[in-house]
Amino acid sequence: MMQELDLKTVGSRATKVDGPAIVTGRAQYADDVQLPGMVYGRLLHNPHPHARIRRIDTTRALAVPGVVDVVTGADLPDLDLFATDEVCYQGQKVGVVVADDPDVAADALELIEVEYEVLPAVVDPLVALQHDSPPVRLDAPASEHKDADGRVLPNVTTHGELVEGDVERGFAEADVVVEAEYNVPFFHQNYLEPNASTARLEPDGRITIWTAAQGSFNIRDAVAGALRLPHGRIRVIVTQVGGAFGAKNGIFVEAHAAMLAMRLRRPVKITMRRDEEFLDGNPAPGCHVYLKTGARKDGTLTALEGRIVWDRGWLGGGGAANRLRGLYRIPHIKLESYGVRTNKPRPGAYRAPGSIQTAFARESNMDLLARKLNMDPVELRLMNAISTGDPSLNGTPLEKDWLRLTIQRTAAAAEWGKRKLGPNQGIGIACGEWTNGAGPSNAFITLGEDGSVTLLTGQVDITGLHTTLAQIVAEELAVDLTKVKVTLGNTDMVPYTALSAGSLATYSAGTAAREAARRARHRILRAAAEFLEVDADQLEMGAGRVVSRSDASLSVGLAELAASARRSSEGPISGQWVLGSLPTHPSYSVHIATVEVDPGTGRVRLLDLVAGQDVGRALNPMLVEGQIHGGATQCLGLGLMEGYKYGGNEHLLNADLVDNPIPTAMDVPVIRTVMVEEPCSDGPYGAKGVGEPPMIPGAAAIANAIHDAVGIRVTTVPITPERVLRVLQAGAAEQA
Amino acid sequence: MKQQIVTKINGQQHVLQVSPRKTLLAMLREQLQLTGTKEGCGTGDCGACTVLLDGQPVNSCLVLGVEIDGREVITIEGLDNDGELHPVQEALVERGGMQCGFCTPGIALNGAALLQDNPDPDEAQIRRALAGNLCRCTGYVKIVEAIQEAARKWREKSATRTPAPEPADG
Repeated sequence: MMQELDLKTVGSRATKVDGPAIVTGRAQYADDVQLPGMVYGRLLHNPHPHARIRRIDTTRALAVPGVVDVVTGADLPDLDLFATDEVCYQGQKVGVVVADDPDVAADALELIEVEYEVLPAVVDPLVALQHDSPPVRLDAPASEHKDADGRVLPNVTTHGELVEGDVERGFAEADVVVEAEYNVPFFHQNYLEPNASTARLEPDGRITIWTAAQGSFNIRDAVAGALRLPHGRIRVIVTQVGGAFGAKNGIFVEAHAAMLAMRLRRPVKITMRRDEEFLDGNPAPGCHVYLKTGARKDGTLTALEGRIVWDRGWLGGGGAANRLRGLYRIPHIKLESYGVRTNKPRPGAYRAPGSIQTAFARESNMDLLARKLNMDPVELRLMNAISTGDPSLNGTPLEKDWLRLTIQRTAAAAEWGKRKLGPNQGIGIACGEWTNGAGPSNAFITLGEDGSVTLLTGQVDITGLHTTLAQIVAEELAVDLTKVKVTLGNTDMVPYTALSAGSLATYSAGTAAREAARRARHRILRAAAEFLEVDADQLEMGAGRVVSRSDASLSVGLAELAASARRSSEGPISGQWVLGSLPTHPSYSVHIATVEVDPGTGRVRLLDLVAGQDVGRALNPMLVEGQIHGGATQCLGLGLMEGYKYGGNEHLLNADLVDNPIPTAMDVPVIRTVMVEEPCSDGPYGAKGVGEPPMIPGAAAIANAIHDAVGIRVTTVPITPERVLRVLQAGAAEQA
Repeated sequence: MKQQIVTKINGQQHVLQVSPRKTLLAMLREQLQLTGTKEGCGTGDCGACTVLLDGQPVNSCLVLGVEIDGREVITIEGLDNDGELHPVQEALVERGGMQCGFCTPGIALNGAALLQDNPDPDEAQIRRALAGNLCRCTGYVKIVEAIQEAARKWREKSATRTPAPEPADG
C-alpha cells in the first residue's frame, strides 16, 4: 500500500498554470519572437546522400533585392557551421541566405549555384557494417575495427561486448530456444513546433538567443562551442516549447542565428520548415537486432545472446546493448553491439533513447518463447521478472517489487486471459524499463507583499513541470495554488540547470522546489513568531496565514508578514535550494494491446490499449495520465506507421507528415491507464520520472497481439499493411 | 506589388496592403502580429494553423492573404468573448487537453466550429472532426474528453440563451 501522506495540492488534478495562455494563443513560442529590425535566415541544404562540393556561387542570390547576406563555409574558415568540401547526408547545411522577408530569402536560396560530384552512399546499417561498404565519410579517421578475416570495416565506429556468466552453458541448459532478427528504422520525434531561433547582438557585445529547447544551459554551451566564444558572451532565453521529446536537447540553428546576428548587427531569426526537420533534424537511431533467448521447460530463462547494430548516421558513435536485458533474471548473457556510420543525419535522443528499439526485440522474443513453451506470456514474465532486492538494469538493487506489480495490475485491468476475442483479433503484452536521471536543478522562492509566492527555476517546462512545481510550493506553504507564480530563469538568472530530459525534471526540480519551500516556510514561521510574539513551534500555516495552534485569534497573513519582513533584520522572506544529484530508481511500464487484423488488406486496427506504469507517486494524476497517453501513442505510431524510408538511390522518400505520418485522432483508441503508486525513497513525495517509460513497450505489445490474432510474427516496424500481407503470404506459401 | 484588401479579423475591420504571395498564415503572423496561429508544416498536413474563414475551419497556410478580401476571419485571439473563454477553451484547460500547446489553437478553433455545426457530437464524430489536427503530446484522449465536456457546456449555454426570433415567412 502507498504510504499515506497528508497532501492537499500535491496529488490533485491541478490544471496547467500556462493553460489559459496556451488556449488563447498568447503563449510565446520560439517563432513568435519578433524584434524591431529583424531579418530572416533560410538555410541551404545539400540534396545528395554523399557528394563532394566542387563549387559554390552566391552571386545571383546576393543580387536579389531584399537579400541582406549570403554566407557559406568559405566565409567562415574557422567554424564548422557549413560543409565546405564533402557532404555526407542529404540535408547537410551548405549555406544561408538572410533577407528582410522570409519568402525573399527562400527565393534567393534557389539562386545559389552549387556544383556537386556525387559519391557512393550507404544508408543501410547492415551494408555499412561490411568491409566492402562505401565509406560514409572520406575524411573520417581510419577505422580500427576489423571483421573475422582481418578486413577493415570502414564505417564501424564502436564495438562493445557485454558478458555475464557463460552463455554457452546457458544454452546447454535450455530446453527451448528462440531466435529472431528485428529491424527498427530511423524515426522522428515530430514535435509539432519546428525549430526556430532568434539572436540579437546586445550593446555590450553579448548575444541573446531566444529558442525553444529542453534546457538553456546546454544551448548556451553548444553555441559557445560552435562559435568559439566564451560562455559568458551568450545568454539563452528559452521560450514556450512546442514539443521536444529529446530532440531539443541540443542546438539546431541557434549557432547560425547567433553568428549572423554578430555579422549583421541586426536581430536574425531562422525558422526550420517541416521537411528540414526530417532531413536535418536528429531523429531516433534505427537498429538491427539479432536475439536468441533460451529457457528451461518450466519457463526459467537460462541464456540470452544477441547482436545489435546501431545506425548512427554520418558521424557514427556508440550504441549500447545493455537494454536488451535488465528486466528478467537471466544468468548467462552475451551481447554484442556495433555503432556504424551511414549517410544519414546524426541521430539524437527520443523519449527513452535506446529503450524502445531494444524493447521491441526483447519483448517480441519473450512472446515467441511463451508460444514455444506453451506458456501464458504474462506468467512467463512474472516468473522471470526481477523482484525486490534483485539487481536492476544499472546494477542497483530493486527497492520494491515494482516490475511484477506493474505487470499484475496492468494484466488485471486489461482482463488478461478473460477477454473473449473475435476472429482475427488478438492481445499482446510487453514490458519496458527506464531509470530517470537526476541532475543539477534549483528553486528560488520569494514571498511577495501581496501574499503571492514566486518560484524562479532554471528547469524548463515542456509539458507540465511548472504546474507540478507550483503544486509543491503551494503544498509546503499551505497557500492556494493560484498564489504561486513560476518563472523560468534564463542563463543569466540561475545556476547551471540540467536539461529537462531523461525524465529528470520533476524528480530534480520538484525536490529543489520542495526544499526551497521548506526553507521559506521556516523563515515565515520565524518571522511570524517575532510578529505575534509567540514561539515558532506554536504556529502552523494554512490558507495563506500563520496561526497559533493554541489561540486561533493570534494570526498574521502572509502579505502582512512579507511587508513587515522588509524592515526586519533578516530581510525579505525567501527560500532557495540548489540541487546536485539524487539517487534514482528504475520504473516500469507495461502495455497490453488488443488488435484486429484484416487478412485481406493487412491493416491492423488497434482496438484497445491498457498502459500501466510504475510512477512512484502521481504528483498530478491528470498530467501523469497525459504523459502515459502521449508516450503510448508515439510508440504505437512507431509500431504501425512511422519511420524513415529510403529509396534505391539512398534518398529519403518521406520527409513530410503525409508519407511519414504520425497518429491522428482516428488512429488512436481510448487508452486506459494504470498508475502503480508505490513510492520510491528518493523522488519528491516518492515520485519517479514519468515522461519516458510510456514510450517503450507499445510497439512490441502490438507485434505480440498481431501474432495472437493471425499467427504471424512481424519483426520490422512500422508494421504496415504491406508488411503484414507479405508475412501472411509467406506463411501461406510455407504451409502450401 | 501589394494589393489592398478589406477584411474583418476577430470582429475588427482591417484595410490591409497585402503581398499576393503571402499566405493568410504569414499575413496574420508577420503583418498583424497575431502569432497565436501556428505553423507546424506549411503544407496543410498538421492543422496547427487552423483559423475560421467565414465560420469554417481552414488551414491558413493553404489560403492566400488576398483571398480573404471581403471575408471574415476568426483566429485563436478572437475565440474568447472579451476574456470569457469559449467552452472549448475552458474544457481544454480543465480536462488537461493540452501539453506543449502548439496544436491547441487549431484544435480549439476546430472544436468550436464542430460545436457550431453539431452541438451534440459523439466520440467518433469528434475524432473525425479533429483528424486534420495533429497532436504529438496527448494521444488525443483528453482532447476528445474536453470536446465532449465543452459540448455539454455549449448546450447548457445555448439552452439558457434567449431563443432567437422566428424567421419571417417568405
